[in-house]
Parts: sequence; C-alpha cells; structure tokens
Amino acid sequence: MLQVRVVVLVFGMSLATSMVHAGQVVKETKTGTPPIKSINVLSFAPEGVLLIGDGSGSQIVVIETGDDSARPKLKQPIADIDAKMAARLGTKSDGIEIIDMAVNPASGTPYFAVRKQDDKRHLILTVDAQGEIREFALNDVPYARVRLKAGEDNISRITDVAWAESKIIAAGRSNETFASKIFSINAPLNHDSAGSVYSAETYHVSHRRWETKAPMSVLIPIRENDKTYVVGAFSCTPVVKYPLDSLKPGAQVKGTSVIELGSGNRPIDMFVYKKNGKPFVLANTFRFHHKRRPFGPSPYWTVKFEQGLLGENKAVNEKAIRRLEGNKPVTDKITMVETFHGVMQMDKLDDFQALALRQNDDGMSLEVLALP
Amino acid sequence: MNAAIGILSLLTLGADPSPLRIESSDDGRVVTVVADFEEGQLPTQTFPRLTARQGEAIFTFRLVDEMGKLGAPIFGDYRRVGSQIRFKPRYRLIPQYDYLATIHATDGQSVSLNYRVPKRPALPPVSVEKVFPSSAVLPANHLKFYIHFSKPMREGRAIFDRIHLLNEDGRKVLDPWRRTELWTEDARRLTLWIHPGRIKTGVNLREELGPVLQPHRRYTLVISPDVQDADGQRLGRRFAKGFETTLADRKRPQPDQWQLHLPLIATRQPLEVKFGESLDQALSQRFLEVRDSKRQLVAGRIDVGKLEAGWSFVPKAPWANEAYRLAVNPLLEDLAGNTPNRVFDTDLTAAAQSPPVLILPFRPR
Repeated sequence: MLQVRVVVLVFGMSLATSMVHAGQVVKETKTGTPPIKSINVLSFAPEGVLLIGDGSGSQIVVIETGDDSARPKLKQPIADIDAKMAARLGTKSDGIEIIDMAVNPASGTPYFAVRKQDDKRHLILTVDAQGEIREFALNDVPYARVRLKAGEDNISRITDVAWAESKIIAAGRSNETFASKIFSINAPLNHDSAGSVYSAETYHVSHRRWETKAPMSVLIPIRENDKTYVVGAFSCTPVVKYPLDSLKPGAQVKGTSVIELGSGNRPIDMFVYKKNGKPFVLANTFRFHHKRRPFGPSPYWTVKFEQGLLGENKAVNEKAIRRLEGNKPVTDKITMVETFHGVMQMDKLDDFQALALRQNDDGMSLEVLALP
Repeated sequence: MNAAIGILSLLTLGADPSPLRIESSDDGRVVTVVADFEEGQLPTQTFPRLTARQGEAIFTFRLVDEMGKLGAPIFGDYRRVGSQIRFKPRYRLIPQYDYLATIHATDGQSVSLNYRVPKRPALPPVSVEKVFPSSAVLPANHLKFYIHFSKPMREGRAIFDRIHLLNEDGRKVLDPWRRTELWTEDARRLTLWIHPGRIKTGVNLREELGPVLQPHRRYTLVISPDVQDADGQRLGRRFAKGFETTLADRKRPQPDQWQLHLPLIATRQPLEVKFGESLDQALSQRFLEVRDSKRQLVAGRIDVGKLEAGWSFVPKAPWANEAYRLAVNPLLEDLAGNTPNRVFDTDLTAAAQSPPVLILPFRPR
C-alpha cells in the first residue's frame, strides 16, 4: 500500500537535477520470468525501471519496462476502477485487492500491484489515457533481483522502496520479530548481486529517554547540505530523518523526529512537488481513529507541508513542529488538503497533477487531481 | 487435466450447431473457450498466437454481474488452430459466477454462449486451529498474537475489523491493532500486533489514548465468523480466547537463569530447557540451536513446551560424550518484545545493562 515518488532535493531551496542515464539503475539483467512471490510495494527509478518490493521472496526485483517515453495521460476519472480491474481477471471487486500504485515518471502511465484473492496471484496492471486496463506481463522481461537479508532474521514484508540518486533504498520488516531494517543497495545493479546491500536497524527516541525500535512505513530520500537523508514516516509517530550514509552493515541508526502529524494515523504515500517555486511534501494517511475523532468525511485524509520543515535541525524530537495541539491546527505550514479526502493511494503525475485512487461511497475511482 | 466439454446454453443467433463451446476442467474453473470459424472468416494474416487486441476484436469472454452488466474482456491467451480460435483465461474463474463468450462477426451478427461455473463442492469450514501465546496470563505490555487457521485465508485489511479485544464488560477495546498484515507465505498464520504506539513509553498515541491492555484485568480475544478463507468462505464459528493481565514486563529474558535438564550420553533423550517465563512461540522454534564441540549445528527435533515456557531438543543421533552448547539468538523475544539484548523500551537514563549471556555450555550426563 505504500509507495513514494523519488525526488532529489537540495535544501538551499533549489532543486538539484540528477541526470540519470539508461544503465545507471541496472547494469546486468536476466530475461525471463522473475521469481516473484508477493508484491508489497511498487516504485519507479528513472528510465522506466520498475522497482518491486517482494517481502515473501525477501527481495527487490527491478524490471526494465521499456515504457520510457511520454504518453498521453488520463484526463477523465474512471469510476469503479476496482470492479473494472476485477472484471478483467474474471472476478468482482471483492475478489481483488489493489495493493499499491505507482506512476512511471518516464511515461505518465500508472502501474497497479493487484492480488487476486482466491488463488493469491500477484500481478501488475496498467491504465492508459483512454482508461483501458492492461496487464503488464511478468514473463520474458529483462530484470535483476537483489536478495535482502536482515542479519539473522528474515524480511517478510517490504514496507517501501525508492530510488535515491544512485541507490535503491528499501524498508522491510520481519513477520515475527519487532525488527525493522532499512536497506541501501548500490546501483547500477547486477542480477543476483549481493555485495552492495547494506542494512541498518532503525530506532527512535521519545522524551529524550525512551528508545525503541521503529518499523518505518514510508520513506523518501532528501538531500540537505550535500548530505542525503532518508525521511521516513511511521504509524502514529513523527516524520523522522536518518542520514543515508549511516546505513552500514549491522549499524543501529537513530532517527531525528522533525514533524509531528498527529496520532492515530498510518501514512501511506508521500511525494515532493513544487508550487509557485516552493517545494512541498504531500502525504496521504489512513486514520484508524476516524470513528472516534474524524478529521474529515473519510478515514483517508491528506496533508501538505513545506518541504523546508524537513531541514530543521534544532526544533526536533519533542520540540518538533506539530500540526495539532489537541484538536486544533496550530501552524499554517502543515495543512489538511480537503480536495484529497478519500485518497487511498496517490502518486505525482506531473508538475501540476497527482493521480489518486479514491474511496467513494459506492466503490473506488481513479482520478487526476490538481496539486494543492 | 481431465477435460470435459460443457455447452450450457446458446443464447442468440448464429448457426446450429453453435460455433462456440467451452472445454472445462473438472471443477469448471479452468476453461478453454473454442470458437469455430468458417473458411474466409478469419483474416489470413492471423498468426497462431494472437495479441489481446487482435483476439478481443474477434471474440471475447466476459464476466456478467448480478445486474446482467458485462465486464471488459477477461485477460487470457488467444491461439489460432486451423479455423478455430481457442481462448484460455489467464486466471481461474470463480464458482457460481456467470460468464459470456461472444463472437463479434464483421457483419454485425454476434453469437454468444453463457457459462456458469459449477458450485464448489461442500468442504468443512475454515477454523482457528491454535492461538499463541497459549497462556491465559499475559503481561499488560503483551505485543503480539499468532493465529493459526486450518486453511489459507483471504488477505486484506478487513481482517483488522473482524478480530476484537473485549474488556471485562464485554465492550470492544477501540483500535487495538497495528494494521499491517503479516501473514505466512501460505496465509495460514496471521501475526497480529497490538499497536506498538500504545505500548511504547512516551509515544503520543499511548499518551493520548492510553495502553490497549491495563494490568490486572480480564480480556477476551474474539475472532469473528466474518473472517474469510481465500475462497471467501466464512469461519465456521466465532473463536474466543480469554486471558488476564499482569503488570507490564520490562525485563530482558536472561538465558543464564534458564534451567537445563541434561540428557544421558549415548541416548536420544531430549535436552530440556525451562525459561522461567513464556517466550515467543515462533521465535523459540527458530532462535535456539544446539552446536557440538566443533561448533557444528546438531540436527534434531525442536518442541516448544507448555505455555511456551520451555523448550526441548531431541537429537537425530545419540548424544556424544563431549561439550555442547545451546546458542541463543539475541533477537529472541518474550511476550512483551524484550530480547536478551534490550528491553522493548530502553530507558536511556537507567544504568547500562550487562551484556547478555547467549551461549549456554552443557555436557550430557
């Protein structure tokens, strides 16, 4: 359910342009059917390279889609998108689960990870500008895979994967232990190479006193003062940043909390965009306290905040900026986006629009929404 | 595959006999739809394997919903064999769902065939086989349950609304779970986490809502009959597990305090270990191992004991008269997520903890 757009940022308020050429993500591929056991998350690297987080297979699978040039983008909303996808698989909307969505920035085409519920087949669907649903066949594709090992424990779920300049970063967790790992994988990748994978265990501290492991839900890379950070969001805990170069074998990495979005929410997707020259972060979340303390008409709500807040180095941890005091918003730097109420999955479509999978009263729709 | 041919009903138009028929497997969920064409009806350039667009332009196989509305063409493989086009859906069809095969003739005349997948044979409903921890006494900072089902289950977040914790008054504890699905690969075991944000000290969720479990209270874990197996069949009956709570456990498991009952040399008697507390059932299976004097792993059978408070190991070969060691993985957890290395919430103001003892040497008697 989690995915992010990959953005390289410089906190001097100017965006760094990272020129990535074909072959910088993958150096050596194998052509065939990748041995994917599950799809937890989808994301894209440049040049139409699809990143698949496969927890059951404890691996990241990277596929050269060949979908690497701009195509017309969806303009009209598609109602009942879940039922329409299900029908293509011969079932009804309750017979599938849409696990994740990612827009290929090279073409503007959205890719969906879908699980057919009865036989647990995982597959990838695309939707074109006319709303036609097609399967992205996973046979005879050029791919590379990287196995993830979390020390003495196994990774059973990939919670997010993203492209960060010249690396792939991923967060994963175990089924049985409370361990959570961030992986840093050097690119370009060779199929089945294992030597360039580093993992670290993530912790955070509350009240300057209590230190616990912290499974990360969503991550995006940022660049600040010539240093790259992984910014992660956690269930019910703040937005936290970790230095990317701290990801070394066996390391224990302590994060710095920079923003407190409020409790009772599970972050889903996060990406960075610019509005009138100013960079912002958009994050949608699921509010599991919706029945008790609703923030809007749907448990799915979206927040926008100034990207500069992530660069804060002094007002951090328990002094981190908060969206709310009690029930009241206390800053205009972090605002709820009402036009995004009900958005379950989202990704940046272009500089002005997001593509959103939205929950409605009578089903799910795929919509293009203006960036706020 | 034992194929049978089933022609269920011819709906409209077309010649007699029907140019459409369906070959199905025994359970009717794997089918091949066969369309016969007359000479000259198929384009001459049609290759043995058609693309989806080519195939769908000639004939389609579609889901029919309860309102009679047709879905978009089902994904599958189209092949030309002589004057036939054979379509095989890529994914299994669903019992008791209706489908429609249609030849789209260029002259506007269409021929259709309706197909209903037979009802699934009656099977025993899915049940809850086991829940761990098996103890009826849990610490107030208890972290997770393992729920074992008799069949592969339907994944999806709805599960978190179908499993409840009831307090002593029979009322639901609100939002107790971390809504991250953690199933085994066969989807028969769910790891259900009490929300760590309501266990961790100093985290805002706990400060605002309080912990899920209070000490010295009674609770019931309830699994609703609405929980579904992979085929969508409901749980046979409601499952309930009652338990009471003690104070929170904020101590590390201490392997050097465990009691070892040593086996006799030249026998295959079990090495028995008593933990003095219940530990995590799944991790106890994986995170303890016996090594011989050359540090080689000793093959044998592991059993986790009653209330997960003990562990035993029966070697494949008889014990030798040599020094063995029981090796403890530092990630082994107790019921509250404390490990030999660190407690779940480490108090940074407290004195540094001594390093854990993770190797327990022993010699059979």
